[in-house]
Amino acid sequence: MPQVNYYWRLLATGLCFFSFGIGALFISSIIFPLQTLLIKDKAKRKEIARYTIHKAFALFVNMMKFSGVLAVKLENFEQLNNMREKIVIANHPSLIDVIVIIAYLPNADCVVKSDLFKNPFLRGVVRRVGYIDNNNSEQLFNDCKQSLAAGCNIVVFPEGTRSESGRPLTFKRGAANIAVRCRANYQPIVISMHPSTLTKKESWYDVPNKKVVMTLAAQTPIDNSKYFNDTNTSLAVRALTRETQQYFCKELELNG
Amino acid sequence: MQSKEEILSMLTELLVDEFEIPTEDISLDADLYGELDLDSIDAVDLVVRLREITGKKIAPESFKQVRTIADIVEALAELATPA
Repeated sequence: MPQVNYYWRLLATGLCFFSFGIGALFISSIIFPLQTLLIKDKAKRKEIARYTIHKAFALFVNMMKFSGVLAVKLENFEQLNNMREKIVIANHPSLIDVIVIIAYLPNADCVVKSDLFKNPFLRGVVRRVGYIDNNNSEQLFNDCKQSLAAGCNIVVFPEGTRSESGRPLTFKRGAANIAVRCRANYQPIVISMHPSTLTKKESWYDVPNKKVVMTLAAQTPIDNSKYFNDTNTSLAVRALTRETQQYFCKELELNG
Repeated sequence: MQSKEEILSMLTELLVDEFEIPTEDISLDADLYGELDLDSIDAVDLVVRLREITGKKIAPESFKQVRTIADIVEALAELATPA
């Protein structure tokens, strides 16, 4: 029986990713153009596009759940219901982290790497929902300030790329730069995956030998205000980066 | 008039005090983004600070080609001696 189950999960995983690609193309070539025709107000349009993505990602996560590929456990997510103006930071064990976070977080903005604005499947989506390009730093901080002022929460993976499983995390300073320069607090989410899958080294078809359980634990928000009035921003950013990196390593029981 | 040695010592002090770079890592051929672990945001901050310290206008664009400590020293030395 475990064999049958394995092949089923391999097939189901393939179907889920295939649907994801088709869904992204469908949304950017049909749904978004329709929304453009029907909705004249640009801000409203972006808001609805974002809601569309939130629901589409939720559908994808449900597909993975119902097909038996993935189980998702949420801890303390009630506290995120009315959350505003936070930088949501999370460790990054797998390819689907951001999809799962956005599936459960309606008001999420996201800082994404510039490459995604060139990816044929995703560029239509990231442009339309107004996700923030990490390419130009001055533009980045202005975009983040605007997004926070509008009440959004910005999802950032401070590692900048997926974690290496079992290794201590190394944070880049982008998240702390946004927090300090835009004067925003952190909402940490600790993600764990057992068994690990869809890491940087694996392809989608490296399906583990049992169903994956993904836990997303929303932690107590971190007050960053002690860093806001530092005369030296780059030192404040370095200190905050160190502090949050240690925090995540401790939560994940990694010795860093 | 600043000599290259003076520029290097000013730059070293700045990198040590404000960017937490260990003194022993700083050498003329040290790579800013590799060995010294600066990122693109640091580069912008560094240009701003150098502008404040030297009083010279440094265009962020001219900093795009800069890769090593020696490159910065050269660029600043050039600004100090108008052709």
